[in-house]
Amino acid sequence: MRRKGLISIILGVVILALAGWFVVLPQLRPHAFHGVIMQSPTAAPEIDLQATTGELIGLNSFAGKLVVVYFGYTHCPDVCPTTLSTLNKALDQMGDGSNDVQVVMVTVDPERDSVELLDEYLGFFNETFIGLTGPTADIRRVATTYGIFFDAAEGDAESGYTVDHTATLAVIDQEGHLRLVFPPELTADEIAADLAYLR
Amino acid sequence: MTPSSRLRSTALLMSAVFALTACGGPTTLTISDEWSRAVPRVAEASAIYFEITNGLDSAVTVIGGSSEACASIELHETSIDDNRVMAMRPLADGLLVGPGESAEFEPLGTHLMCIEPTVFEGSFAVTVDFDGAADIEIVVPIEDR
Ligand SMILES: [Cu+2]
Repeated sequence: MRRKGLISIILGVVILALAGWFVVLPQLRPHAFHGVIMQSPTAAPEIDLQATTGELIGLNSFAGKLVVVYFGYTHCPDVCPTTLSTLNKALDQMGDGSNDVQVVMVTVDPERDSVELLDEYLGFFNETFIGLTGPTADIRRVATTYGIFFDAAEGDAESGYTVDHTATLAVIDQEGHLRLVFPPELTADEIAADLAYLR
Repeated sequence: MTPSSRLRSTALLMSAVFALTACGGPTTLTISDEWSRAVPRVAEASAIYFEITNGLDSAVTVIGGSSEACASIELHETSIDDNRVMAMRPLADGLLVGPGESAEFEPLGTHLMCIEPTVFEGSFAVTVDFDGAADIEIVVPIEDR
């Protein structure tokens, strides 16, 4: 009889320890970001460009949301569709939480990316994605403040030119602070985990 | 039968014979896991990915491809520098795959670029052109991976 009691006590302790290990500990541990976290978050530079939604847009249009800013272009066959598809999958994984996230793509190819083209292109990946464009000088000014480089590279006649561009994603938090930078090779799981934590 | 398709059939037959006589591992040039990322109809370009396994005992070079679903196809490589700047360039000399080696065509890397695609769902046929081996025809499913 006494032995049975001892066994149940040991069993109870083991179960509690396991529960602590798998349930409580992960919640105590700080979130390990997959993106590169800004040590002292600074105010995100203003983005005042023409949006596919019609109006001129500034960052305060998205106040209260996490804003993911990507610089890309629609004639890009590999990197840009891959990134946009990954972002869509990340939002998908977040479920209702994705309502608190706004993805915007600033075109680095305003000559070819009209508002209509951007709108249709981005809408294919996710209807909530917003495209931004404007005069090249304005785009370059905004890009530079985000540490984004872009430059057209000559292609042959058939494929036209391509645009070299920094392919990182910037994450701006609900208070308008630049918080996180995602390298282009992150997976949807990793992006979703970071965004869900910041939300 | 055109001379080139006869050549292709002969090459196919030859490789089939090789495959039958050898033990262990493919002794042919194969393309597997082919797919193309789904893009909107307004897209001017899309990318084709796959893996090439060279089971031959000599090197082959991928030089490009063609498809009725693309105005043209180019062999490209996306590279990323230390500053995370992505650049895409044609591989003018093709991509060499040594004997016994394989090459991965994947997002953010080497790809065949379909210029002015006309097929946006389902699948489309692509001929991958080689130097040092017969061209290979593949059917590429359009997917959202
Ligand atoms: Cu390309």
